[in-house]
Amino acid sequence: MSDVLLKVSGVSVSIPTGQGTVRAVDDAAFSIKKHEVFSLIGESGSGKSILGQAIIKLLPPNAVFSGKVELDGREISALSEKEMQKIRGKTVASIAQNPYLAMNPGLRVGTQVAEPMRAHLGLGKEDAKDRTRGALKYFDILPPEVREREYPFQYSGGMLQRAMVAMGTAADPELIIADEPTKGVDVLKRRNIAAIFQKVASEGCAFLLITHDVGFARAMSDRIAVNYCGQILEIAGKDEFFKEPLHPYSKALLDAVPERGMHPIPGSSPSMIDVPEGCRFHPRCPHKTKSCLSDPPVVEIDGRYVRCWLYA
Amino acid sequence: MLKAENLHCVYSSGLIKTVKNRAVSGVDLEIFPGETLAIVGESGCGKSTLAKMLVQQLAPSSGEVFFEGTKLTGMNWKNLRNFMGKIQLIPQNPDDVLDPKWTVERSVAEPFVLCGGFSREEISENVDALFAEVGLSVEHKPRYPHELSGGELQRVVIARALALKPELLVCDEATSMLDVSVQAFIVAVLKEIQKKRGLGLVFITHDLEAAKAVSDRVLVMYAGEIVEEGKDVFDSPLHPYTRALLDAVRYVSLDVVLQEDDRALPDDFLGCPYFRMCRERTGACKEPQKLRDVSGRLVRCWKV
Repeated sequence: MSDVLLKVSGVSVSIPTGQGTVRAVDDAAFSIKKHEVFSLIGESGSGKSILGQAIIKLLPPNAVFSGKVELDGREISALSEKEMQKIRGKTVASIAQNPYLAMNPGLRVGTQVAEPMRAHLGLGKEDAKDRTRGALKYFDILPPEVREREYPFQYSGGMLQRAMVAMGTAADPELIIADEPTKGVDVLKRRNIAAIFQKVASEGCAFLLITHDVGFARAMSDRIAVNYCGQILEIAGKDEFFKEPLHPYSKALLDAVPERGMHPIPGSSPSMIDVPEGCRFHPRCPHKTKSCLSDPPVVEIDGRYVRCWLYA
Repeated sequence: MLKAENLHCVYSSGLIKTVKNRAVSGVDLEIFPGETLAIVGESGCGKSTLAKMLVQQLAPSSGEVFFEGTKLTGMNWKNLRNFMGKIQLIPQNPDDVLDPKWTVERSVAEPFVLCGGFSREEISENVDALFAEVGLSVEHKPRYPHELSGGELQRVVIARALALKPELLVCDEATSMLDVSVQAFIVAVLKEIQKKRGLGLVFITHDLEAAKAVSDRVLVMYAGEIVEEGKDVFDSPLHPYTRALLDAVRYVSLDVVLQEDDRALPDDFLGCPYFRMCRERTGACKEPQKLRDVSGRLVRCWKV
C-alpha cells in the first residue's frame, strides 16, 4: 500500500438550522501521509472542527454528510457505528480541546487511560495497569502509582492535558486528530503541548492539528491547509507556505499575525448560511476580478494546491 | 498620568484555617499620557488583579494609586465617581460585562444616562459617533449581544468604554480570546483611537508577540512581582524568566517537556519567586531580590 494514511475526497457537510442550512464543509479534499503532521488552520467558525468530526464520524445527528474518507485504503465513511467504534481510539484517536470536559470526572485517570488498551488491545487488568503506569511516566505524570488513582479535578490543567494525550496514544494509533489543543492556553503551556506532541510525532504517529494558532502550526507541522468559510483554500508544505503563501487569504492571514505587524484583514467573515457566490473570499480580496464571481478551480502548482482564479 | 506605589493584594480564603494567597506584591508603576504599556506574564501571575486595582474595582491590601496627582485609593465612592469615567477597563470576555437582555445600543448609551445631563438626541448622536469610531455600522445598534460575533462585541465594549472620554484604557487580555485576524483588527481600532484621542493604554496579555507589536514599554510579571521592565525587553531579555517566555513563544528546544511549577514556595520564603523554575539558580537566589536599574532597564535578578 502507498504511504497515504488518510485520504479525504469531496467531503461536504451541511447542517440544517432554524435560520437556514449551514454549509460547514464544502468539497474538502486532502490526504495525510504516514508519520506526517498536517495542520488545518483557519478562523473560528470556518468549519474546521466539523471537518475533524466528519472524519471520525462524530458529527451532530442532524448533519448531512457526503463524500469519501479513506483510512489506509479502506473507506471508513460508509462503515457502521459498530465498526467505527473499533477504529476510533485504535487507529485514529482524537484529543479534545478542553481536558476537563473531555475526561470523565467520576472515573480515576488511570482507569480512563487504560480504557483504550483494554478495549482495543484486549489487555487484562494487570497488563493494562502496567502499561498505564508506563504511559503516565512517559508523559511526566509522576509518581504514576499515586497519580493513576487520582481523579481529573486533582490534576492541574497541563497535567490533565498530558494524561489525555496518554489516553489518546494508549492503543498506539496511527493518526491523532487534535482539535484546538492550544486555545486559551498561555505561552508556556502552549510550548509544553508542542513538546508533547513532538514527542509523540517523533515515534511515527501522524497528526491532524486543527488550530487557529498560526505560530503553533508553524512550529509543529509538515504541511498546512488553510480553511476559510468551509473551504480549503490552500494546501502547501510548511516552508513554502510561510515563505510565500499563494492565496490572497493566506497572505492576509499571515499579515495579521503579531510577528508580521498585525495588519487586519478588511471586512468581516461572511455568514456560513449566506455564503458569497463564487470565491468565498472575493468580497474581502484585494485582487478580485470578474471571474471571482464564479467558483474558482483548485490549481496544482509544484505539489501545492490553491483554490484561486489568480493561478488558473 | 497614573501612578501606583507599592501595590499589594492578598486574597484570603477559609475562616478557621485562613489561606493567604499573595496575588500581587509590591508593584510600582507609572503610565504616561499617550503611552502604551504592556503587562505580560503567564496565567495566574497577578496581571488581572493588578488591572482591577488600577481601575479601582478592587481595593489593594496595601499601597496607593494616584491619578494625575490625586490619590484614588481610600477615596469615598462619591468623589471616586468623578474619576471612574477617566479610567476604563476592557475585560477579556465581553459577555461578562454586557447585559444579554439589553440591545447593544442601550449598553453603549448607559454611561450617558448614568452621568445625567444629556438629552435624548444628544445621547443618540453620541452613540452613533461612538459606533462609527469603532467601525460598527448602524445596523448593529438594535441587536442583542448573542447576535454579534466576538470581535463585534469587543468593539461594543470599547465603544462603551470610550463614552465618557477616558484618559486611560486598561485592556485585560482584550484580544486573547479572538482569532488572529480579529485580534489584529481590534488592536488597529485601539491604536487609531489612541492616536486620535491621545489616551494612555495598558495592554495586559500573555502573548509576547502581540505585546511587542503594540507597546512602547513592557513590564514582565511573575508570581505577583515585576521581574523586568523596560523598552526593548524582547530584543535583549535580561531576566531568566523573560528569556524562558520568549523561548516558549518561539518554540525553542521542544525536546524537553518543562516540569510543572507547583509554586508552593514556603510562606516565609522571601527570595526570588522564580527560584524553583530557574535553570540558572544558585544559593544567592534565596535572598530577597530588588528591582535594579541596568542601563535603563529594571530587572529583578542579582545576576544581571
